[in-house]
Amino acid sequence: MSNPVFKHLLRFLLLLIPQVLIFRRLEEAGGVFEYGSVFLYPLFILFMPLQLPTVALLGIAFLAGLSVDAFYDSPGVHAGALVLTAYARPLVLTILQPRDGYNITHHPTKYHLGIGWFLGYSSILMGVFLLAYFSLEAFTLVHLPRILLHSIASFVLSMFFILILQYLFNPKS
Amino acid sequence: MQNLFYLFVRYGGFVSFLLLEALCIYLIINFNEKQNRIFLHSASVISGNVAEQFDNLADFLRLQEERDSLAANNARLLAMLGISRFDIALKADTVVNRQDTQRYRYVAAEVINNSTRKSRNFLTLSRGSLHGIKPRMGVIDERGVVGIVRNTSPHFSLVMSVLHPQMRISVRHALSNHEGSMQWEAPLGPDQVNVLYLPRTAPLSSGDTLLTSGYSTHFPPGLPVAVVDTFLVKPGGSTWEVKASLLNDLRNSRYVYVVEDLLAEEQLNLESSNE
Repeated sequence: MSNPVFKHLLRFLLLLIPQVLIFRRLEEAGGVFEYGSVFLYPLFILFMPLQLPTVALLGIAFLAGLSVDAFYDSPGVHAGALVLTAYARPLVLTILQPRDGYNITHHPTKYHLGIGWFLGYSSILMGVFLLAYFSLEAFTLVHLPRILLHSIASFVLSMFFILILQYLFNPKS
Repeated sequence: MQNLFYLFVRYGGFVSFLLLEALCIYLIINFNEKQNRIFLHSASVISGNVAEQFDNLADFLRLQEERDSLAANNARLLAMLGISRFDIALKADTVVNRQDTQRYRYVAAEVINNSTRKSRNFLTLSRGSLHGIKPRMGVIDERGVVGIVRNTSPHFSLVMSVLHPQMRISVRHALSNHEGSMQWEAPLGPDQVNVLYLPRTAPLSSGDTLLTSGYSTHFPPGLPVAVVDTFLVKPGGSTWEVKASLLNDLRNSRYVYVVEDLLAEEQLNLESSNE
């Protein structure tokens, strides 16, 4: 577990499997899931190390998105949304920067930066991701109310699960 | 090379973001049926709009050409009208075979300079002696009489406007066929004229039409020129003093026709032989 590349790869798989096996099928379950689903795998990009260059982050996001797309049978939709999220991450980090800056060895997690910071960080980026995802999925602004509805429903559901994960595992890095 | 690589890693964020997003959108459009349909539809709507706008622009740029050809066509059609023909039948009792020859021809021209507010007004036309225009030819537009050519250069001609005190245009009262002379003087507006010498026996009423008489060689007979406004007889006078308004507005005339009378020389020669 000491190799960070291996650790992140494993985390990606652990996020990917429930995503494609469970959350992908939630839409069929009906109820509230007709309006939105749970998206946990963007956490993978959110947890990337702080000192990672943007170019590398974008490349990783693209590949990760494509592998999710492989299961969703929607080439490019998840990848496009995730690349946008990855591009937005440095900007959000700058906005949310604590007064004395980030410790370069820390990771953007609740453990290091507190629940308040993490809540802001994850909700902005999840918002970006979900809006991008549903826009690319609809691919037209004709259905803007539908895009917003699905984004909001998915946002509530996803944030619920993300916070549960934070409290369950409380990852350091 | 290595420096370039570091430079890219450090500052290539935006470029690689755009490249990756473009790649994603390419994938979305090409491998997703629904998005592909939407894309093709939007693309066809947009390209259709662009094509239409382009078409409009092309139409607009062709207007000049279109207008010139229309004017030339009008001149050709005017020449075919009855008033432009001249009866040459030899037997007075023959009505079956209409025999006539071309008397008037028309050259379409554009007004490129115009005055209407001076006391002596002139126009300049974009056609000159190269196009067969000679002094003394009449100039008309679709609604009335414009003036008479005074002078020509190879490409331009100078026209003495109807709004010039030396202009005398012979007109005819449409109902009674009495003849008068249409003249203009400085205090009158650019749409007002005086008509002199109509005998007081002519039954005028306001609103009557005045036509060109065809007595001169400038204008074909029977063109509507003006309508009667007011008329009165001075005590002891024998003719009406008529105020009339022109049917055309010289202030905005742009396209005119120069009248070429093919028989003018013959008529003028004969008339001058008398003097």
